[in-house]
Formats: sequence, structure tokens, C-alpha cells
Amino acid sequence: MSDEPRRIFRLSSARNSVERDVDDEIRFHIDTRSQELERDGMTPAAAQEQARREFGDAIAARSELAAIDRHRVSRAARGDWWSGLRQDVRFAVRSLGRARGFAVAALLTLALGIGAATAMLSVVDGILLSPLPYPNHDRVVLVWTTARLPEIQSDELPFSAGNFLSLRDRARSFDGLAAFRSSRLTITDGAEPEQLPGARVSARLFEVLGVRPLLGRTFDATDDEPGAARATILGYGLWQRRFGGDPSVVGRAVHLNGASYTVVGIMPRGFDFPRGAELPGGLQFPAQTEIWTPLAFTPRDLQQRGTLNIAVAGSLRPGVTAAQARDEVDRIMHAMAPEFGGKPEEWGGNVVRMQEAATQAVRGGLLLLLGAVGLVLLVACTNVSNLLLVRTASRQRELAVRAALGAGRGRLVRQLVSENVLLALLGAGLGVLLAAWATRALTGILPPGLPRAEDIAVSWRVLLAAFAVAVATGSAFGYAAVLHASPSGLAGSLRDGGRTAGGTPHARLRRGLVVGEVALSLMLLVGGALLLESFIRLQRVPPGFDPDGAIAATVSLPADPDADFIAQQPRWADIGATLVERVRAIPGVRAVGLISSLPLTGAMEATTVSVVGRPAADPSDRPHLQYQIASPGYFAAMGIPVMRGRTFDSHDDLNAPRVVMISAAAAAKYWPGRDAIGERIRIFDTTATEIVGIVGDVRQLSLSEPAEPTLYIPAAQFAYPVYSLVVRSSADPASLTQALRDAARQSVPGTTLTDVRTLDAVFAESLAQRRFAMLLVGCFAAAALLLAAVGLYGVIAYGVSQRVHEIGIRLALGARAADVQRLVIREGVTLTLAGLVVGAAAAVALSGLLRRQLYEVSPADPATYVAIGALLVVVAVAASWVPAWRASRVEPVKALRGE
Amino acid sequence: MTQSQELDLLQGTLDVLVLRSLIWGPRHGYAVARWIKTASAGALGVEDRALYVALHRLEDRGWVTSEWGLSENNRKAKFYRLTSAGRGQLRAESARWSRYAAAIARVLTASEEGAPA
Repeated sequence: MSDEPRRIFRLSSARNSVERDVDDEIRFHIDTRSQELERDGMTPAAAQEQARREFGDAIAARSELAAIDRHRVSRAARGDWWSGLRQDVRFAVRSLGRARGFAVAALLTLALGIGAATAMLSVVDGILLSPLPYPNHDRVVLVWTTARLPEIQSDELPFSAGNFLSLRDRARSFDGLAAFRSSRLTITDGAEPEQLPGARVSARLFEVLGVRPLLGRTFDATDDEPGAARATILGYGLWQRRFGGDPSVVGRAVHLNGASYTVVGIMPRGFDFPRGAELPGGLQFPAQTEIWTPLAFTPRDLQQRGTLNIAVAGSLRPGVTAAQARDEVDRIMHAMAPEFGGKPEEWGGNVVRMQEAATQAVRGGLLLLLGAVGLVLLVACTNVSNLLLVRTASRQRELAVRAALGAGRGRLVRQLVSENVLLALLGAGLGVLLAAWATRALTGILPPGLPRAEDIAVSWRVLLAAFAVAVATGSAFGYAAVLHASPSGLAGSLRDGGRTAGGTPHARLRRGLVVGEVALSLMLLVGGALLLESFIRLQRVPPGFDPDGAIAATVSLPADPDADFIAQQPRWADIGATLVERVRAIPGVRAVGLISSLPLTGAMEATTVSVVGRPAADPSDRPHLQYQIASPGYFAAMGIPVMRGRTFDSHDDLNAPRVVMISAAAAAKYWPGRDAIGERIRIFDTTATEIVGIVGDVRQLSLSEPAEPTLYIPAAQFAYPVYSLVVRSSADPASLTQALRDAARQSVPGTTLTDVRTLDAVFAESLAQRRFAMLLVGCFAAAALLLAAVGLYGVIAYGVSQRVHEIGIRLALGARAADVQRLVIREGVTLTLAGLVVGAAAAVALSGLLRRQLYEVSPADPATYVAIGALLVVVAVAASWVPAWRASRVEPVKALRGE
Repeated sequence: MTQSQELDLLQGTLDVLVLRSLIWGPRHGYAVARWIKTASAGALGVEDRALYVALHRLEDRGWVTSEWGLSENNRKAKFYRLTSAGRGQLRAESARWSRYAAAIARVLTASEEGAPA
């Protein structure tokens, strides 16, 4: 047989058949020649011998000829494959064009699934997976102190200066260790003084991160020695903004907090370490750092071994793992504890990779969202497979004809697969467009304070993943479709005219997919509903203050980071009092106050106090309290009720006896059944201080966490350089902003006022991450519900179209339209109920994952499940209604006569 | 057989001879070999193995196709047939060979000054 029919009929040209053909050909030649020689009178043996000699080396010839033929056969196969593919694609385009409704439904489903998944993956990729933008990102770690004290247990405490230096001298796991802490610097060069987010850092920090300056140099070893000339490094943004990108600024002097610093270098664009969102909130790092000064330790710093206030970064020595480094630091801290008056078993060390630390806080929430979008993608794939299966089923006849005409199963598989892959690629293309748009939209609504938000972009990795998923889905379901179209089944469908009854494996698979879709939708809807309920409950939680009609701003008083803190306090107390006076003079202002940490911002400081006259046998019995520095007007400005006693007044200054106020929770916890007013406590182990008032509880960390026992210290007796200013006024917040800025500038040069916002905005911002998660899960759930409804409709409608004959008989035998409608709707509802059972079981099993995101709602809340279940049943009835109505309008005579 | 009087084939000429042998219709390999021997009056010594290599190469290039059929002695034999591409190739190669042979002949019979005889 020549290759032509072989190609047409798709017969195999197996390797050994090539060799057999060559053998046959050579044998024929030699036999024919020897017969001829015999006719000339030779003996058969001599003739054979002669013929073989004339032919030449038959063994060599055999392999040579076979090689040529194999080459030809395989090239022909390749050519067939390509021309077949072209044919398939052309055919696929044509047949999709005919089934326009199917193609649109499938494309939109795929686009929605892939678009949503790609956008969410891009966010996760940017935040969790892509490396931090530091050359040493794989080696950079953060080093923390750990404490196991009765009053505080933490794995993320900072170091004291003395402990840091001691650790640096002993640890062997690191190439370098560097300390850093936040510092707010006010620059006074140029027109308007500006408060800059800055950091004081060890000279080695830049080396540890592996970054180089854009211009000039970073700090060298002499810069962070006490008494060195003051040097500073500018960030790219600051350099552009305030100095117009002028390179000659390197070497010039700038004025920060009233002192002169020499600019030694400019950092490249995008370098803004430390970034607040990547570090524990208590350290109060700014979102991005724009200016760096050397961190020098004064003798006083070194003495205060218990004052934990500096963060430490290190680069691991090559070959050392974070776990090994952790063990070493832990050992060193145990050994070091007695040096600062601690017990070895109570203190230790911790080392975490910066990459992990940066994203720790949001990892849970993001993975939850990724899981949710994964479910949407699953629903989308399920829906598309269902559409494909329905379509393949309705094409049984066409496939049967093609099989009868000689198309092999492989050929049919390839045709269906190429149709589905084409569909998948088109869907993925649309999905990527959608993803590009959605990623931009997502970064627009990201909650503030999300780490690494600036690193988010649609990445090639994610795009490739999306295409891979699309192609895999397409091929898998094309293949599955043909597996069900077995040769015997195909022959059958030729006979019965393509009508198939339910109950075939094909139909079972379709129903199974719908059940799966409903189950997945239930899971997403339940998740979304639980998040929504939590959100509503949280919004109703009384925060302990009245956000309406009040605004807050951040004020920084002039401070010298190198000067002694205590020595500067009287000056800060004066400036703070002056500022409050000036703000109160603004028309419309009813109350003004200063507070060290604004509620709901996540910031807090805590200390352990002792009660005078009540010696604690065990240190754990001593009250552990959050503390706030507050000015007298703060409580009125915030609308925090005074429950007993009095608030601070202007007489509570440095010349007066020390006084404090406590919160209701503190009174209830540490003075149960007694009057706390008049009790005396020692804070920071100093002078005894009298409790003069009790105020209402305020949620400090977030709305979801109960109010902690809190201590309020008067700003006039223990002043801070940075406060939140709270102003309650009848004036419009926008018009107030400028008046506040003027008041700050006039009170004392170098005071800055930034970040003006309403307390309502503070309240809303504290819920921003939850709102974001709820919004996304809600969107995903809605998408899944829509897809499930489409899937259900598709399957029911197809079922009806296949049962027209049967329905005709029923109607002819006297069934009423309502009976037929009930029959069809019952099928939809049955499938949905099965999906609900599966989905509820899966949702309960997975509910633990959601627990942390919920507030006062059980992840297995029965009411939610019932409500969502009812919603899905309603949707199922609606989706089945149109096919049911159509079924009841079947004309019995037509249905019985025709196909 | 008198080896000394046979001429060795120049590179590439075997292909033309094989294509030419198929001009009257499909033939199997043995018939092609016999035709070349007869047509050249035994002057061209073609090893059978080389002939088959040529046939298979021509098939690989698409100038001939093959098909199994029955021979005169009622045995299964592989028949080769010219394709239209093969016919074109034969025309082009024959013309080239004629020009070449004529040119060589002219040169070999030229006078001392190079004028054709």
C-alpha cells in the first residue's frame, strides 16, 4: 500500500513495517535475478550466489534504505500533523461561529474566572512571592528579642542599644548586623518646613541590605561613632522634590531639627527601607523612609539595657540558615539576660527572614482571598466543562458520522481538543485583558498599610500560569468528551438519530458538575455572608469615643534625637500647651486635646506598674497597663466619658503632685470592688502617682479587640515630642486644616502638623482591610452564583431538549402543563439540594480557615447556612423556570412525529 | 562479466537514469536495473544496491512514489512511479545533461585554436 491511503485512513506506519518492506524488496530482486540465471542454465545454488554478489552488501543496503524510508515517513507524519492542525483550527473557528451562544457563554465564563484569578494572583505574587527589592533579599533577616515574662510574651521585641552591641560582638551567624529606629526629622531649608519620615541607622545597614547609593556614599564606620560630624543620606523622592534632583546637593549642608547635617549620598529610586507596613506596628516606622541619619549611642543609651527601642537587621553568612542563626541568637540572649537584670529562661532571641516578616500580617488574609478566587476559577472551569459536555452530547451525531467516514478516535480527540484549546486561549486572552484592568482597580482599592503594595503588577509568571490553566482545562475536557463518545455509543447515536436519554455516564457527569458548582458557590456565598455579618457587627461596636464632628492630625514638636529625652520634656510640655491654646482660639473649636497614640490605629505602649501599699508577691500580680500621654482637653475632644473623679487640668504640671487617670477596664481588673480613686501607683518605678479619675474604655488596637486596661499620664508631667492632635469643632474640617497648620507654625518654629483627617476616616480606615476582604469575597461569591445559575440553566435546558419526545408523550397522555413544569423544576431543585449538602459539608470542614477573619460570628453559623441555601434554591428555581415553561409548551403531536 | 569495459557513473547521473526508466509507467526495482543495463548495452556498471538507494532517495524527495503490486512472475513487488514533480525534474536534468555532454564533446573535438571542428 502506498502512503496515500495510509495517510487518508490514518493507518500506522510502524517502524518495523519499514524494515519489513525493505527486506521484501531486496528479496524480490535477488530471487528474480537468480531465477533468470537459472533459466540461463545455472544451478539454483550458484544462481543465488551470483545474484547476491551482483546486488552488493545486502545488510548495509537494508539499513541504508530503511533509514531513508524512516526519514520520509516521519517527515510525512509531521507534515500531516501540521496540516491537520491548520484544518482543525479552521474547523474549530467555523463550528464555534455556528454555536455562537455557547461560544459567548464559555468565553465570558473563562474570561471571568481567569481574569479574577490572574488579578488576585498578581496581588499575591507582588506581596508574598516576589523578592524584596534589596540585592541581599535572600539573606536579609530581622533579629528580635523574645520575652517570656508574666506580663509580656512576645517574639518580636526590639533590642536595647547595649544588648545590640553585645549581640553584635558575639554572634557568628551574620556577615553584618545593623540597628535602626524611626526618627521624624523636620527640614527647614527652603520655603516651607516639612516633617520627613526618617530613620536613624547603623552605618552598616546599607551593606547588610546590599544597596548602593545613586550618588555620593553611604555612611562609613566613623559616621555612627558618638561625636562624629553630622551626616545624612537623602532618598530619591525627597531629593527630587526638595532639591530638584540637583547632584551638587551632595556635600552641602541641610538643616534638620535645627541642626546642620552634611548630605553624603543620595539613594536610588525605590529604596525606602524601613517601610512601616513590613515591621511591627509598635515601632512606629513611617510607611516609607525618605531620609537617613547615623544611629550613634550615647552613654545613657548604653546604660539603659532594659529600654528596648531599636530594630535590628542582619545578613546571614553564606551557608547559614535562619533557623541556625535563631538558635545562636537565642543562646546568646539567654546568656546575656543577667547582664540586664533578667532571668535567662525569660529572655531569648528570634531571627526571621525579612521576606516572611514583611508579609506575615497579611499572609492569612491574602491566602484566604486567593483560595476564594481559586474557587471562582474552579466554578468557571466546571461551568465551561459542562457547556462543553452539553455541546459534545448534542454533537454525537456529527461525531458518529465523522467516525463512520473513517476518522480514528485520535483524530476526533484532536479535533475536540483543538476546539476547546482555541476556546480556552481566547477566553484566557480576554481574561488577561480583564486581569490587567482588575489589577489596576484592585491596587486602587487596596486597604492602606498593606505591605509592598507598590510591588504589585501583572507579572509574566502569573500570565503564563493563567494560560497553562486555560490550555490544561481545554485539553482535559476535550479529551473527556471523546472518552464518553465511545465508538459503540457513536454507532448507537447514528441509529437513534442523536437522541439520548438521561442516565448515561455522560449525563451523570454533567449533573455531577452542576452539583459541584452549586457546592462551590455555597462555600463562597457562606464565606462572603459571614464576612459581611462580621463587618456589620464591627461597625456597630462602640469604639468608646465619638467620631462625629472631630478631626485628628499628627503634630511633631522640635526634638533633637541625640539629646537626652528627659531633659527635653519640659520644653515639649510648654510647646504642647501653647499649641493647644492656639488651636482653641480658632473660631468654632469646642475642645482640643493631645494624645500619644490615636485609638484604632494599632499603636500602643504598655508598662507594668506597682500599687503603693499593695506589695505583689509575684511580679505577675502587678498591673500591666497600656499607657497614653494625654493633655487635659483630650477626653472632651474625643467624647470619652469621665465616669468618676476628674480629668487633668492646667494645674497638673511639673510643679504639682503626679497624677494619672485610668480606664474603666483597668479599674475593674485591678481594683475590683474597690474605689481606685485616690489609690497611688508607681509608673516606670518613679514617684508615687495618684489616680484622680476613671474614664470610659476605648478600643485602641482595633474594633475587634476588646479595650485593654489603660493608664493616662498628663502631657504636662511626661511630655512626648510627637502627638495626635484631636479637635472637636463645628467648623468644616477642610477649612480647619489651614488654620491648624498656621497655629502649629506660630506656636514654635519647627513644629509641624500633618495627616489631617476626620475621626470618621480613622474609624473607617481601621476597618479597611476587612472591607477589602469582604468586598472581594462578595464579588467572587456573586460571580460564582451567576456562573452556577448559568450552569444549572444550561443543564436543565439541555435535558428538556433531549426529552421533548418523552414530554410529548406525557402531554398526550393527559399531563397538564403545571405537571411538566414541576417535573423540570424538580430536577433543578434536586441537583441544587445535592450541591447544598456537599457544599455545606465542605464549608463546615474549611470554616476554621475563616475563623480569624470573623468577629462574633461562628464560622458554622446555622442561620447563614440556611439563608444562603434558601437563596440558592430560589436561584435554582429561577434558572429552571425558563426551560420548564418551554417544556410545558411542547406540542404533543409535533414532538411525537418529529425529531 | 568484463569489469574493465564498464564506465563508472558520474555523481548524480544515476538519478536521471532511474527517473528516465520510469517514464513508460510503474516498474519495480529489478526492472529498472534491467532497463538501465539493456539501454546502455551493458556499458554502464550500476551496482544494484546503489540503484535501490537512488530509488529510495528519489521517493524521499517526492519525485517517485511506491506501491506494492504483483510482478510478472506473480510475486509481491514494490513498484515505483514518477510523480509530476519527478517528471519535471527529469526534464530539467535531461536538458542539463544533453548540454553538458554536447559541451564536453565540443571541447574534446576542438582544434588547437579552440574553434569547433
